[in-house]
Parts: sequence; C-alpha cells; structure tokens
Amino acid sequence: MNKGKLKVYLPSITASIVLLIVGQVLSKGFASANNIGSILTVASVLAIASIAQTLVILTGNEGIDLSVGAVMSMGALFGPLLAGGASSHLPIAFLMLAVIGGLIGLINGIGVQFVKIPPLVMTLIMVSVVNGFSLAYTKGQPAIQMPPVLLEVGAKIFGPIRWLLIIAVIILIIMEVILRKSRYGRSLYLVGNNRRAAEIGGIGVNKIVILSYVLAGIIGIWSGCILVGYAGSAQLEMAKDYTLLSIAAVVIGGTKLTGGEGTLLGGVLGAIVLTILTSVLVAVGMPDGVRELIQGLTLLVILMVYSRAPKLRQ
Amino acid sequence: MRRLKNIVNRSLKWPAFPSLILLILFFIINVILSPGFAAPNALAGFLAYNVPLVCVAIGVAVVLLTGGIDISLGAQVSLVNVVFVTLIGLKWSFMGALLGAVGSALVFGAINGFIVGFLRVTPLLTTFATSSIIAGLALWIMPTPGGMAPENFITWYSDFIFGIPVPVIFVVISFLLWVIIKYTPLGIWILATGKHDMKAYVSAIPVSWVKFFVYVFASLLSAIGGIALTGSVGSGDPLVGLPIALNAIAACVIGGLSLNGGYGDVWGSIFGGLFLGLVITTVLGANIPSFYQDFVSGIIILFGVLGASMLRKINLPELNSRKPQIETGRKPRGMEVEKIEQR
Repeated sequence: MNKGKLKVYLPSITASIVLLIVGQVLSKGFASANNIGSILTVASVLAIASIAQTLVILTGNEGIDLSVGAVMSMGALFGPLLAGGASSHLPIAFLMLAVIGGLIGLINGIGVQFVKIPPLVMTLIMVSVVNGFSLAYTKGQPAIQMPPVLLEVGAKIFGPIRWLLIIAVIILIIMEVILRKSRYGRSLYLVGNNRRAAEIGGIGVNKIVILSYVLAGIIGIWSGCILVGYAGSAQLEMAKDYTLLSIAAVVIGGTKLTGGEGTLLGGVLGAIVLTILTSVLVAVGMPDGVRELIQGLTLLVILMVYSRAPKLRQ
Repeated sequence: MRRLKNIVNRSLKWPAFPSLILLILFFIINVILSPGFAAPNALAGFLAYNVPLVCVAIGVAVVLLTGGIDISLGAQVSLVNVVFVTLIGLKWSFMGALLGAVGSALVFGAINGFIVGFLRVTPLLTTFATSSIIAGLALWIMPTPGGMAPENFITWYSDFIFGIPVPVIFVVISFLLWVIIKYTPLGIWILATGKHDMKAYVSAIPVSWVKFFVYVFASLLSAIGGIALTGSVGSGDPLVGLPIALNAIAACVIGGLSLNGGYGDVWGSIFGGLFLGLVITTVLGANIPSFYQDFVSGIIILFGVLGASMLRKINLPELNSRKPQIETGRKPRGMEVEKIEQR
C-alpha cells in the first residue's frame, strides 16, 4: 500500500480514534474490547451496503444508488420467507435473492445506460417499486419463522468477534480482489475516470456500468438478509436509513462522487466512523432528533473540508 | 393547415409537453374510473392534498435549472409545519407564527445556498446533510405528532374564493414568484448557470450568488408548501414532509426538466406533481387491493419517467449531443476558457 492511499484513510481512522476517546470520556467502558466488538458488528451491515454503493459511485457520471436501502429491506423480508424458516433451504434462498437483487440492478442499469435516465432518479423510482413489491408480496406480514443459522450471525465466535464481522471481511476481500485483479474491476475505474476515453479504448461501457448496478443489487439484497439475522425480526422498510448512510460512509472514506477514484476499504472505514458516532450519541443519551442533527452536521463539516470543487476561475 | 402544423411542432418541442399529455390521460382515466372526480368539490379535495407537492416541485425545478439539486426541501416542509404548529401552540399571533415558520426554512435555504454556491460542495450531498440536520431539528422541536393548526385557517384552506379553491392560490403565488424572476436578468442568469457555469462565469454572471439565490428561493416555496400542508393536515408531524423531497424531484423529471441543468420549463414541474397525485388517486379509485397499491403506483411512475425520457430523446437529439461536455469534467472546460481569453 503506498503513501497516497494511506492519506485517503487517515481522516476516517483519526475520526474513529477521536470518537472512541470521546466516548470513553463521556461514558466509562465505551472503548472496552466488548463494546468495540459490538460496534464493529453493527458497522458490518453498513460496511457491506457501502461496498455496494461504492461500486455504483465508481462508475461515475453521477452514478449513485438510492435503492440500496429498499433492496436491503426486501432482502430482510424475502430471505427468511424464501428459506421457509429452515436452515437447509438458506443456500437456495440466497441464490434466489441474488436473482431478484440482480434483476433490480439490471433494471436500474438499463434505465441509466440505455434510456439515459439520471441514476439519481432511476434508482429513486426503483425505491417505490421495490418497496411496493415487498408490501404486495408479503401482504404486510413479515415471516415469523427465522432460519436458526441466520440468527447465528450475531453470535460470538471468540472474544468479542462475531460471525457478522467475519462475513463482512470476507465480502470485502472478495470484492477487493475482483476490483484489483479482474478485467471488470480495472475497466470500472477507467469508465468512472473518463467515460469517453474508455469508450474510445474499446471498453464496453454499458456492460461495465450495468454489471456494477447488478452487483450492487446482489450485495445489497444479501446484506439485508444478513441484517435480519442480526436484528432477529423483519419489518417493512427496516433498512431504509442505509441508503443515505451508505453514501455518507463512501464519501467519508474518500471516494470521489464524480467516480473513478476510491476504494472499498474507504467506504468500510467510513461505515465504522458513522457507527461509532451513532454509538457515542446513544451512549450520551441524546434524543433521536438531536442525534440525527449531529450526524448531519458531522457529514456537512466533512464535506466542507474534503469535497470542495475547484474555483470556477481556475 | 401549415399554421396548425407549426403549433403541433412547437408544442412537441415544449419540454413540459409529455407531462401535460400524461396528466390529461390520467385525468380522463380517473373520470372514467370514478365519474364524480370531475366535480368541483372532489377536485378541490384532490388539490388540497397535492398542492404542497406542487409548490415544492416548482422550487426544485428552479434549482434543477441551475444544474443543482435540493433533497432537503421535504425536511424543510416538515420543519415549517412543526414550527408553525408549535408557535401557534405557544399563543403566538397567526402572522407571527407564519413569519417564524417561513423564516426557519429560509435560514436553511441560505445555509444550503452558501455551502453550494460559495464553498462549492456537491449539492446532492450538501442538501442530504442539511436534510438530516433539518429533520433532526423538526424531531427535536416536536418528538411526536400533535398540536393543532388554527381552526379558521384549516376551514379557509379547504374553502373557495371567487369560485377558485384556496389551494390553487398557493400554487398561483408560487408560480408568479417564478414568473417575476424569469423576466428579470436573474432568470437568464439562472438558465445560463445551468447550461454551462464556466461560460456563465466568464460572461460576468455572479454564478455563486445565482446558486445562493435559487436555494433560498426553493426554501421559500417549500415554506409555502409547508403552510399549505399544515392547512391540509391540520396538525404538526415531524415526518410529514419526508416523502415530498424525492417525489418533487420525480415530478420535475416527469415534467421534462433536465437534471444536468439549463433545460426545461417550470410548468413541467406543476404537471409532473399533479400527475404523481393523480396516479395515487387512480390506484385508489381502481379498487386495487391495498397491499398492491404502492407497487402499482410505483410501476406507473416508473413508466411515466421512462416514457417522458424517451420522448425527450426522440424530440431533442441536441440534448444528447450536449452530454460529452458534461462528461469531460472541469479540465477541458478550463482550456476552453483560456481560448476565449486569448481571443
């Protein structure tokens, strides 16, 4: 890892450490191994969502996926339902989820690439379609039976480390390898950086962008299914907050919203910062409204420091 | 005959045209499904419910014209609603509460405008962050729904003046505000900024101030929408405006406004907003089981946007050829400016 990359991670690492110290000062035991373990567990779901978000943002040209939260909620509802409460059916359920999530991503990608609907709008409309479909299919009644294996994601393996964290790390490693080693990964950065050049260079831009949306859909729907295992019960639209949180995490992690620049690890670190921040605010006992206010303020400050466009004069 | 052809051609080129067709189509469907819909009272009820969205959509449209975006307007509607009801609850006078509520929105409009215009942060993320701040503030002021708007205000809102439903007056005021701006130099500046901010800058247009202004303007319109919403709902709710934020943007896109800026007609946002309202009324009127309603309305909106985008693509090939300029980013634009200066 070279020095330039480390510089990108520095703000989020510093912020995490500062927040941990602040938390420890404000409430004893905040920085204990046990609490850090549970913070990381909670951060894992957001981290996976931010991986999906990073893939789409990297495509550039205002690429953004506002349907992540809705797709996750769908995964949370459909996962247990498709498995029928039996652990042995989980692999098939995950496969079917991948098909559904991939299909949603495919529609997003086609709308963005071929019909030329701006990603923001396309994925936004997808939110109401996906939520509407979830409601229509479940009739508002989430599955009551949970596959026991799915509930195990929140169980401790050794010390404060839980399965959920391991899953997140595995997904991160797999996706990181894909981005660095595969043809798709390297093309993705090129497409995000300069779409015209990529086109002229003979890269199938449409294919790369659509594949990003499809992958984001699959990862998103799986993370929803994992989330329901940790939460224990599913609700309609339970993951809708993750849409904007995942964007925030990606930005904090140093990924450029214009695309083509950024790493998955950055988004994961951003997810950890956001989760620690929330935990600090909960530990201090802030009311809901104030918590949201401070989260917004933090993001605003980070944006003002790191995400400013050059002056028009230059 | 030739004249007719001319009119047809011109209206086909009108950015808001597809949304007008959609709106008329859905109005007819609605009247067929429930014949009572065209009655003045039913129409007034429909408008009372949908006017807040239309007001906010006009505000979003003006921001979109400069190439920006504002997703905090929904939260601002909630804030206006909550502040207004709370101040009334504190025995403020009607005017005082009104000014306090509108002022609270304008403060955040100014913050948005300052950060986007002068600090040059991406509008999407800026307004996302302020949206979270505003929503948090609304939730802090009023943690649970409650309170009451003044009763005579609620009855006035659902009344008629000279045969015109009162909610329509809110839209007319909002639209007139835009028309006034449109015919001042500011109107041209807004379009120029949206078309190409660098070229606007070298033409001595105060781009930063234009951007600052549109966010404040959008806040003013969302405040008008928030007051209308209070008249329609009658009480305070810290979450009441949240769906409006994104629906207003969808309304603008259906109305033919480009998210890249500089293209579109504010009429489109009005048509788009009313269309979204009509879709929900249609779905309700078609006796679709309640669980399927959200899905069906989602699908209809999806096809509405798909249709509007495709129509625009057919009508305006020049819009597509404009794309590469945006994709190439800042550097080539800088070179372009240098060329102009050399001349």
